[in-house]
Amino acid sequence: MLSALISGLAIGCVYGLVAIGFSMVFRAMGLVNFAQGDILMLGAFFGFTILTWVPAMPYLLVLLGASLGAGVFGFFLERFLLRPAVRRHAGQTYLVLLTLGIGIVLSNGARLVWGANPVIYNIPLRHELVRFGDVALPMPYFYIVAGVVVILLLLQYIFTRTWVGLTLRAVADDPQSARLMGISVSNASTTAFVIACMLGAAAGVFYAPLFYVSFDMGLIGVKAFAAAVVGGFGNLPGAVVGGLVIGIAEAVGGVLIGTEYQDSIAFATMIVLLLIRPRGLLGKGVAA
Amino acid sequence: MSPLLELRGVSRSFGGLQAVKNVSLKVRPGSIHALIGPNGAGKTTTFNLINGLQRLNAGQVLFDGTDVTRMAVHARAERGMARTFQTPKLFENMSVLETVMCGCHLSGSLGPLGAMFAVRRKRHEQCAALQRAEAVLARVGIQDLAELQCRNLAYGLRRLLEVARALAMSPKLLLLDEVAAGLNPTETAQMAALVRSLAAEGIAVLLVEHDMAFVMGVSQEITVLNFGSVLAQGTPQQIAGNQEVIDAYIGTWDEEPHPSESAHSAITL
Amino acid sequence: MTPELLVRPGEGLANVRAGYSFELRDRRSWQTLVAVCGLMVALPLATGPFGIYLGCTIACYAIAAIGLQLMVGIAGQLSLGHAAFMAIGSYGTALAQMRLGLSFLPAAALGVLASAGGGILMAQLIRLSGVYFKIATFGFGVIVYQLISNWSSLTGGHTGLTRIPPIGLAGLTIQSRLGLFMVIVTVLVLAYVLSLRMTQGRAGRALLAIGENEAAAEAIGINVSGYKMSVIVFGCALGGVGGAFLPQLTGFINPDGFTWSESILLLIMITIGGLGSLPGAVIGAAILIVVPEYLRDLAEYKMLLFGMLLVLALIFMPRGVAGLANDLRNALRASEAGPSR
Repeated sequence: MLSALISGLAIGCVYGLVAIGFSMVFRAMGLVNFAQGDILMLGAFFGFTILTWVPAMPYLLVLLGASLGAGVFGFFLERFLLRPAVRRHAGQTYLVLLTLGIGIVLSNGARLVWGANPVIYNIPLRHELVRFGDVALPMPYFYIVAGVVVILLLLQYIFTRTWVGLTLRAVADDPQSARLMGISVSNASTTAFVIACMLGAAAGVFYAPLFYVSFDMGLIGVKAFAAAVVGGFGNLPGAVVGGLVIGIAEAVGGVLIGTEYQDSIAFATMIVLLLIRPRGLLGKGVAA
Repeated sequence: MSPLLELRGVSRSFGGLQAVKNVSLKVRPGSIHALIGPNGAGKTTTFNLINGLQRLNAGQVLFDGTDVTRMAVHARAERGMARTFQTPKLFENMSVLETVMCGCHLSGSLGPLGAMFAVRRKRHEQCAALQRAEAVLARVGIQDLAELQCRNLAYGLRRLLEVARALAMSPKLLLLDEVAAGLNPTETAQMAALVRSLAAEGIAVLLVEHDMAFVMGVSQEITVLNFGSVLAQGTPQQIAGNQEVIDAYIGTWDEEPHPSESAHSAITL
Repeated sequence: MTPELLVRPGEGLANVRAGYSFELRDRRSWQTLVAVCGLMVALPLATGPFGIYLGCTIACYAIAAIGLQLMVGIAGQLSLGHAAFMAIGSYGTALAQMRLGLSFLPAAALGVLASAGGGILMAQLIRLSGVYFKIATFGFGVIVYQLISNWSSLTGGHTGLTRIPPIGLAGLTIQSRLGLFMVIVTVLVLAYVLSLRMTQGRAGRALLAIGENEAAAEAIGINVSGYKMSVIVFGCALGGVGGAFLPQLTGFINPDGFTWSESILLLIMITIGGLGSLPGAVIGAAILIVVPEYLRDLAEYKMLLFGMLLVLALIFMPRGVAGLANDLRNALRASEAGPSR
C-alpha cells in the first residue's frame, strides 16, 4: 500500500504538470485543449528521438530538448489552427471538437512515425533505485518531484516578476482592459499555449523512464484533465493539488479494487468530488 | 400601493470586495425607477441579485408579494420579471422573429413530449406564439426586420430586440441594464419614448443607466449607489439638488479618467 | 399587452401571414426526412447483401447520432462518451435476451431503459457547468467501457457475448438480413420523426436558445436544467436504441465496439453531417461507415484520416454536408427566381 501511495504521488505530479498547462490555456484563451495529453505523448517521443540520435545525452538535456521542440510545435499549432478559430468567436463545441481532432491526428500521426509498438528510454535512470532502509524507490520519482517543484517555482517567478507573466495574468483576468493598455492579447495567448505545451512535454519526459512511451499515452492527458478540474479549473495551484489527489486515489483504488479499473476510479473520483464541490477543491475554479 | 419589487438589506461580496452593501429600495407598479451611480458602484451586481443570476449573501428580494430570494432565474421570470443585459445576449443564429418567439416561451405549455405527440395543440400554440411575437415586434417598431438574422443587426437594433424579447414575456417588471448605452441621440430619444409608453401600460421599469439626460427625463424615482451602498433616494429633482450625489459624480469627472475596477485588479499582484 | 387571438384554434397557420423562413425551414425538414429515408432504404437494397449489412450498421449508428445531435448540435451539451450509451443498449438487450430469456422487444425495452437511466445519471452532472460536464461525460464513457471489459461474470469481459438470439416478433423470427434491415430502418424513421417534431415548436426553440446562450434562455423563463435533462435523457435513450440492434448484426458483441474511438466517430458523424442538422446526423453516419469500407487497405490510417477529416471539416466546412446542401438549394432557388431578386 505504501508503495502504491508513493507511486500515486509521483504520477500525481505528472498529472499536475499537464493540468497546469490545461488551466493556463483555459485562463488565457478560454480554450479547453483536448490535445494536451497528446502533447505529452509528443514530448515523450521527442525525448525518445533525441536519445536515439545521442544515446549518451544527459536526462536533463533530453528534458530541455523535448520541451523546446514541443514549444515550437505548439507555436505553429496555435498560430495556424487555433487562433483563427478563437478569433472567429467559434463556439465552445467547435473548439473542443477542433482540439479533439488535432489530438487524434497527433496520436495517429505518432503511430505512423514511431510505430505502433511501445518504446522505452534506454537510459540508466530507468533502473536506478534509491534505498531508504528496506524500501527501494525508483530514481525517476525524485526527478519528477524535484522537477515539478522547480517548475512551479519557475512559474511563480515568471508570473510575479516578469513582464511576460504579468501580461498573461492581465489577459487572463480581463482581456478587454489588457488590450486597452496595449497588451497584445493574441501574443499572450500564443505564449500561454507554448508554455503549456512545454509543460506537457516535460511531463511526458518525466513519465517515460517509469513506464514506456506509446502513441496512445494521450489518456494520461485526459486524466490530467480530471486533475485540473478537481483542483478547480483555471486555478494553477489547484491543478497540482488535483493531480496529487487523482494520482493517489487511482493508485490506492487500484490496490483495493483492481488495476484494470484504475482509469474509472480516477474519473469516478473526479465526478464525486465535483458533485460535492462544483468549483473544485480549492474553491476558486472558474465556471466555464 | 404596495411595492412590486422590494429589496431589503441586500448584500453581496466577492472575495474581499463588498460589491453590494445593505441595499434597500422599492419599485411601485407601473413606475420608472432608475438605479444610478459611478462606475463600480454595484449597479449591475444589484440587478443580478434581483434577477437571480447571482445569489445574495444577506437580505431579501420580494417580488409581487412573494419572497423570491431563493428562487431560480426562470422561476422569477415566470412571476413576471424580465431583464435585458449590459451587452445584449441574443440568439445569434436565429432570426429576429424567432428570437421574440423564444420570448413567448412562458405563454406556452408544451414540453418535449408534447412537441412530439400533441399535434393540434402544437399548431395552436405555434400560431399563438407567432401572433404574439408579431404584435411585440410591431409594438417596438421593428416588424420589418422580422426575417433578419440576429448576428447581422446593428447595435441599436440589438438593444431594441432584447427589449422586445423581454416584452414578449408579458412582464410586470422590466429590468433594463444600460439600455441606452452606445445609442445615438435619435435612438436614445426613441428608447426613452418606448420606456415611457411601457410604464404607461402598467409595466414597472427599473433601469441602470449612465446617460443622465435619459435618466432625468424618464424616471419618476431614482436610487443612487456609491461603493455598493445607497447614497440617496428620491425624485429626480431631489437627486439633482443633492450635494452628496453631486460630489460623488463630480468627484469622478474632475480627476484624470481613472481605469475601471477590473483593469485595476489585472495589474494588482 | 396580450394580443387577441385573431385565428380560432385549429385553423392552423393558413390565415396568418405565411412564408416566414422558419415555416419554410420546417416544411423543408419534412421533405428532407422523406429524401434521406428514401435513400436509406433504396441504396442498400440496390447494392445487394453487403449493402444491406452496411445499411443495418448505418441505421444503428444513425439512430445514436440523431440522439447525439440533439444533445450537442442543438442544445449545445457536448457529450464525449456517447458510445457508452450504445454499449448499455447493446449489452442490456443482449443480456436480457440471454439471461432473462426475454424476447427481443421487452429485452430492447429494458436495454433502452437502462440507457435512459444512464442518461439520467449523467444528467446529474449538468449541475457542473460547461467544461466540467464535458470531461465528466468522457469519464462516464471510460467507466462504462472498463465495466463492460472487466466485469466478466456479467458481460463476458473482453470476449463479450456470443450466440445472441435473433429478433422474434409476433411469432415470426427474423432470420434474414433483409428483414432485420427493414426493422431497423423503421425504427430509424420513427426516431427521426419524433426528434424532428421535438425540435419544432416551443420545445425546439427552448433547446436552441439554450444552445445559443444559456443565461439569456434562463432569463426569458426557460427552465434550462429541466430541458437539458430532458434532451440528455432522450439523446442517451436513442443511443441505447441504436445499440440495441447492434448485437443482431453479427450475433455477438464485445467491448471493442464501444471504445473512445466509437465516441469520437459519433462526434465526427454529426460534425461532418452538420452540427445541428438531423438529416446531417444520418448522412454523417452513412459517410463514416461506408467510406472506411471502400478504403479497407488504408485501415491502418483510419483514425488518422478521421482526425484529419474532422479538423478539415471544422475549418473548411463548418456547417457540414447539410450546410452545403442548404447553400446549394438556396443558390438554385435564387437563380430560379431570376435577377429581379
